[in-house]
Formats: sequence, C-alpha cells, structure tokens
Amino acid sequence: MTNAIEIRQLHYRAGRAFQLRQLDLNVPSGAIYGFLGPNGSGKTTTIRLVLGLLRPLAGRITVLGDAIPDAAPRVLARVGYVPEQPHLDPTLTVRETLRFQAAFYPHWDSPCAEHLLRQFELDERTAFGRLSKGQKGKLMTLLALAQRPDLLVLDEPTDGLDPVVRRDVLSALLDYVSQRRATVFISSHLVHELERICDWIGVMDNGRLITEVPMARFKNGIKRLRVAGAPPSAAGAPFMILAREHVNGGAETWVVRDWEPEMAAYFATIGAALNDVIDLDLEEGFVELLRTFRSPRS
Amino acid sequence: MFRVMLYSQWKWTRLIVALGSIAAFALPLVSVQGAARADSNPLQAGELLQAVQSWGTLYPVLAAALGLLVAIATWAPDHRGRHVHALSLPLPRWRYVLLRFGAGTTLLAAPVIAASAGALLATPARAQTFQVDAERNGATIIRRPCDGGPCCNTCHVGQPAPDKKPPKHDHGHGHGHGHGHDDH
Repeated sequence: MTNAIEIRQLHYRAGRAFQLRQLDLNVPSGAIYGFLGPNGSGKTTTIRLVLGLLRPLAGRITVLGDAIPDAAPRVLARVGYVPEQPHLDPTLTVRETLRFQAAFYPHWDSPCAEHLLRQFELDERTAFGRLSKGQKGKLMTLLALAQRPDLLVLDEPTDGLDPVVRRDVLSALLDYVSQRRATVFISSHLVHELERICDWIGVMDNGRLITEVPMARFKNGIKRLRVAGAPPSAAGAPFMILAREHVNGGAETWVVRDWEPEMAAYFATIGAALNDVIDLDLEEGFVELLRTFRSPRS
Repeated sequence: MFRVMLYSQWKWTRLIVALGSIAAFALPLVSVQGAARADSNPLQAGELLQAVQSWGTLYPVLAAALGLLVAIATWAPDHRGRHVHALSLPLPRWRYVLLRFGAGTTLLAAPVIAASAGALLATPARAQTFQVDAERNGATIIRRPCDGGPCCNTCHVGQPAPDKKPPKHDHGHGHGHGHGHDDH
C-alpha cells in the first residue's frame, strides 16, 4: 500500500514553547485518517508543514509522491484544504469566491461546485464576511471538493458547527471520497465524529505522535477490565496497562491496551479473577491514552 | 488568474483609487488657478512658477500616499487570514507576489492617467488665456489675446512694437529679446 502522506523524522520548532520532535507519520492512500489530539498538541502545525506552508528544520515530507515544500505548488493543485479558521477574502461574494478559486485550480469542477452550492443552500450574492459560521464551513468544504483533489486535508472542518451543518458537511465529504477514492487527512478533537468515519487514527500530544493504528485495532484493543484479587504488581502482562484504579474491597478497574480475548487466561496465572471486559468508545480510549502518555510512569 | 486578482484587489482599493484619481485629476487644474489671476493683473513669471511649484510638491506626496494605501489595502485580506489562503494556492510564492504587484500597479495607473488628463486639460485652457514671455532682466506675463493693433502698450508701456520680429514664446525661458509680442 502506498502512502498519500509520509513524514519521516520531522523536526520543527515554533518559538521556545512548542516543537515537533522526530515525527513519523503515514497516511495510506485511500484511507480516512483521523488526526486526534488535544488543543495545542501540534495538529495544525503538522498540517501546515504537510502543505508546505511552514518549513521544517529537519526531516522529510512526501505528499502524493512529491517532496514538500519543494514541489508544493504541484502538490497543492491536487490537495483540497479546509483550514481551521475561514481565511477567504471577506469582501468577495460567494459567487466571486468561486470564480477566484476556479482560476487557480486546473481541475476545478464547475458542475460539482454548482451542485454543492444548491445542496448547501448558499446565497451566491452574499459576501463571505457576512456568512454565518456554518455557511462559511459549507463554503470552505465546497471549495475543497470542487477542486477534485486526490487528497483532502481538513483541519477541524466542523469545529463550532451545529449538528445539522456538521452532518451536511460530513456527508458531502464522504460522498466525494466514495466516488473518487480520495484520501482524507482530517484533524479534530471531536472524537465521536472521527469514530464514525475514520479507518485510521493517529494521536498527537505535545508535539509527538503517540500512536498510529487502524481504527478497528485502536477501538478493539483498548478495554476496561473489572478484576478481583489482583496482586499489587502485574508483571508479565501480555497487554499494556494504561490505568489501574481500586473500586472497593479487592476489586479494581484496569484500562488496558492491545487486548485480545485469549489474554483472559493471564489472570488465572496471577491468582486474580477477570469479572468483566468492557468496550471503550474512541473518546474514552483517547483520554486514557493521553492520561497514560502524560503520567510520569509512562 | 490576473483578472480575478485584479478584481479582488479592486474591491479593497476602489475607494482609495477613486479618491486618488480625483485628487490627481484636480491637482494640475488647481495648480494653474493662480496663473489665471494673471489675466487681470500681470504677474511676474517667477511668482507664477513659484505658485505652480508649490502645488507641485503635492504630486509626490499624493503618489506616495496612494502607493502606501494601495499596498496596505492589498496586503490586508491576506494578513487577516494570516496568509494561509495565499500560501495554500497552487502557485509559487513569487508568482503570487507578482500577481498582487501587477494588479496594484494596474490600479495605480488610474490616478496617473487622471493626473495626465488633468494636466492636458489645464495647460491648453491656460494657454488660451495668457502666455508667458520672459525677458532677460525680469520676466513678464503678457495677456492674450492682444487686440491692440501695432501695440496696445498694456504690458510694455512706452516701448516700440516689435512688428518686424518673429514671434517668440519662450514660456518661461529667460532669453527673450526685450519684446516677445507676436500678436502685435
């Protein structure tokens, strides 16, 4: 499988407070890759490096087979980008904005733009600066899709949008991806949203990539276990223990990673009893993962 | 590409360009207003030139102000969006800068044309009214048209009419031969 985005040993520093260190990241072609992380973890900086908006201090970035930032103009012609903040000229109307954008993109699809304009119910005579936040989000999505990109880079595209608009935007994105088999690199801290659409997940925290796995493996591998009679030390566990809390008496709750059903036999070997295995949703798994990463033990 | 860039820039700078064009058009007309007074009261050419010159300092001031304002207005939308949109467009940065610069220059052509038009309008209008004839020892403005026959003596009282001399209209040069009254 080829990768639409490949990052190797990337290093970038923004002032004294923040830096990306030794970042390695792979976005498989055709995948919907969810880029998760708390605010300030480095998601937007990584995206700007991927698009060639920033220059790394060290490391290598390849997007759609071309090196960034050297081949940025060629790559950007094949990339649809929805930034975190709407950044278009506020004086241009929706129609003028479409015209402006169309002039720069060789594969601009006017029928698609017209179709999305109607679907999103955008008034073409309204200036961009006068659109509501939801309408701006829709227009940004429209512009990204009408470019017929091979790669969509979405930086929190639905942040702050109401559920109806969010659904409209996501369904338009998914329609496009299913038709074109495009790759999507979507950053968000709205974990539930990513859980529904992504097939790969990468988690950033404090400028580092904590994990990068297929979504199914991430969700299935993180479990909450109810354990009784466990010794203080759980040496030799075949899974990674992310958290361990006493509930009452000898009962404990463990949050574990890389769990497989056959690992239940381990508890018998340490004289403990496994009472229950509970699935965690992505958000809980994400929070536990971050908590473990940030704790001194990790 | 250039057309959309020009249009986008026009939306930001149209007020500046419009006002600048009006000012640029008016400046040559206003600067010769003082000279019009010479019709009724002959002035020294030096004074006239001084008056025109004092208005002339406004040309570079206007040009600098316009250039600066148009540059700021051009930069404003990009700056507001932290240049993210500009940088994410699929063209080299130098080309984007060139497009912006070209659009700005094109828009600034309007005040330049307006100033030229104003100058073209002001010069013949004044030339119809009066004419500058300079003498060696002190330039004098002579009113036109002169209908005084051999010499109306309005401007050079007591001096003979230079009826045999060819017309001389030096327009400010100090090599007049005493009397440059071609209309006499």
